[in-house]
Amino acid sequence: MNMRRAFILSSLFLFVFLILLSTALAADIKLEEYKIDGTMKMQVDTTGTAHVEETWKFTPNLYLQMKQAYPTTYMLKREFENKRSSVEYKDMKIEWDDSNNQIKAQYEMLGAAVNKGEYWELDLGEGDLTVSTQNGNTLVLTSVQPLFGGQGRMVETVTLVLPKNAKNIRIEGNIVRYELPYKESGKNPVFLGLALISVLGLVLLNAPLKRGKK
Amino acid sequence: MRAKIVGSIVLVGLLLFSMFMYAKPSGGEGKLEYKVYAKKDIISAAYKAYGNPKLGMWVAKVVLYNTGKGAIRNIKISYSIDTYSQQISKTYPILVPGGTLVDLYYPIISSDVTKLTMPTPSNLRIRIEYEVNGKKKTEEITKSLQILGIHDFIFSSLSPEESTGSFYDAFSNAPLIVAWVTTTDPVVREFADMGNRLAGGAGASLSDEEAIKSLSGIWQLAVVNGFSYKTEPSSYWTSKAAQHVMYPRDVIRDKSGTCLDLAIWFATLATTQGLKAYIVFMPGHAFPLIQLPSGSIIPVEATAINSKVSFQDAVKMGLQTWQKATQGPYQVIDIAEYQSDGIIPPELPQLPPNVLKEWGISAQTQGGGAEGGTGNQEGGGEWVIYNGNGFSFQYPANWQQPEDYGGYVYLVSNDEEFEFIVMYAQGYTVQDMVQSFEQTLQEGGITIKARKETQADIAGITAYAVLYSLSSQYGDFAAVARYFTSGGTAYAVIYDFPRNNQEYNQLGEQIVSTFRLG
Repeated sequence: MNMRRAFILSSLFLFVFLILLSTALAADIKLEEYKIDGTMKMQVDTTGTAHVEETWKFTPNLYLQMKQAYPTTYMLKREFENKRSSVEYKDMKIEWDDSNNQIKAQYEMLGAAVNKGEYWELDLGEGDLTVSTQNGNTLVLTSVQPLFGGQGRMVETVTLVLPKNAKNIRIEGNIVRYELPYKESGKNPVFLGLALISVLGLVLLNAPLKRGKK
Repeated sequence: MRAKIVGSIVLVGLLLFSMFMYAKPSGGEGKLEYKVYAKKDIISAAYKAYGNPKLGMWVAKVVLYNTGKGAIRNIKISYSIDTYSQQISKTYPILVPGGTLVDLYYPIISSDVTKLTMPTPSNLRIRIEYEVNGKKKTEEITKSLQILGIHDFIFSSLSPEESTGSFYDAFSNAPLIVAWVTTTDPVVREFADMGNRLAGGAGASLSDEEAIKSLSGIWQLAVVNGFSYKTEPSSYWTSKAAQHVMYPRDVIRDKSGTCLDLAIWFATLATTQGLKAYIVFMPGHAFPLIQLPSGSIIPVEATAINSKVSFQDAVKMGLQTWQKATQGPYQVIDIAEYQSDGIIPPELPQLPPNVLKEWGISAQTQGGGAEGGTGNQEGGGEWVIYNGNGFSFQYPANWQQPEDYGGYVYLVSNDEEFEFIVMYAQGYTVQDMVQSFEQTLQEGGITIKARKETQADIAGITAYAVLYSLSSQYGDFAAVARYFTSGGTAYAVIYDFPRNNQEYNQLGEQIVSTFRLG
């Protein structure tokens, strides 16, 4: 092999790929990283249903894209209430807020907390969760969730209000656990009183009878 | 006495009644109502994803409501899909009055589904057992679903009443397409390695230059093997109908594919070289994005393979497609992200080690090459015609056939003292070609000792010509270059020879005189 040939050949490779590279870099594109800032107030009742008020604030570009994709709030509402959702929503009210590039929503999340017998369990979903404060049955958390397959993220401040009598509240991973024993309702004290009166009556009625026997 | 006995009996009766009434839950009984949502299709290619709760791809959602006044206890929900998924059960100790329970079914599906080549009907069976006031009750529900064939992809699993009609709903299954990205398939890796070798053996993940070099080689391999784009029927992009999507190995075997097949194919090849890739969905089209080691992202119009354009042009066209995509709704699918989440390819049948050869895949140029046409040139001996990509020339028949490296064609004499090169780049100017060539000579250690600008004819065009006096560690030599453009493509036709070798100088001019465009 003549060395000069190989030498020229390698230069030519360089030539072609410099051309390609310069063109390719001219064609370089940027994938936009989407960010949504959210606030959520979630009040959980004694049946495990969560009553939620939520606001999502978008970047202007993403807000426009969202509005293009869902021109009416009806479409957006259907998107959230979609049957493919892992959550069962009820009474959803949702509205665009064009002046602030945000969406406001109010809804009930049925079965948000599940009674596991000894305790209740509330799964706050994927993402990183940090507890900011806890005051009695109220917790403030920050949730960071990836969106669009990692192309964006949602940072949300969650205020979680658990039932008034919830006790021993703890967070394990993204799951909130608390104790709230279920009491069968309707132990009517009238019947207890009636039973006591019956016992007393029986005692009074039968005591002289015994004495008579003696 | 009798009155006391009667009184005692009444009091005992009252006591028993009171105790019973106190013990009895006066709120009443629990009452179960339920709703069942079930998917109608299972995409076999992505069968592993359904069992991963993190992905949220449940096959059934059971919503239980307790509309009664007492608790429902010991709830057990069992699911199975005929022979394709064994029964699994979940239990809940209690559902309080007014409460709701949402249970999601993430089946572990048998790999048997990968053997299905056609959509196959099956049944989802759900059994709900529970207790109300100590009484056991059972509900059984059967929902029909179809398990799609291993090549079948369905763009959306939403029923018309569920879909909002938006682009995102019509493409709600788009992330599942990453199940077709078979990075570890030996056949695909071998193809990529072959392309890489064609480019001179690049380490794609080392630098942007190396990545481009590698991708160009792979692209060029497809070009020389005659890969083409086949258009899909208009119904292809409908959200409901199952569509046949080829795995990268199928594209290599058939040497053709739809835009989605080609997008998956090229993205997969890039991932075999350690590069990150994405697939973009836009209405009626799909194309890949490739991330270079620096983080820069280049779009590739994979269907451009049909026009046998260079990789450089495919990127240019990709940029136009990207701009078009961003004017409307689109989705970018991050392959690595979704695959790391668990959407991974199915097991594909093993293929023989030499299958690429069997399929006729070769690094040898097919599009260009020497033809049988011969003639006698001045100076004696037979000459043959080389047909390149948009041009042709003749050369001595007893020389080795010119080689097409995708961007230039290289011919060398038997004694390797004379080189003839045709370089071409679409969209370039004469000035671009001159600068790029001279710069690369210098970077290759070749010194331009002198250059003389002139004009010279070639293929009926008066070209800008440069006579070079060159020097390197291998000696001094001369080169004659003609630069011109035609049909949007810039050409540089160059020959070089040892200085003062008049014979080779004349030979170079003879070859140039046979150069034709078209």
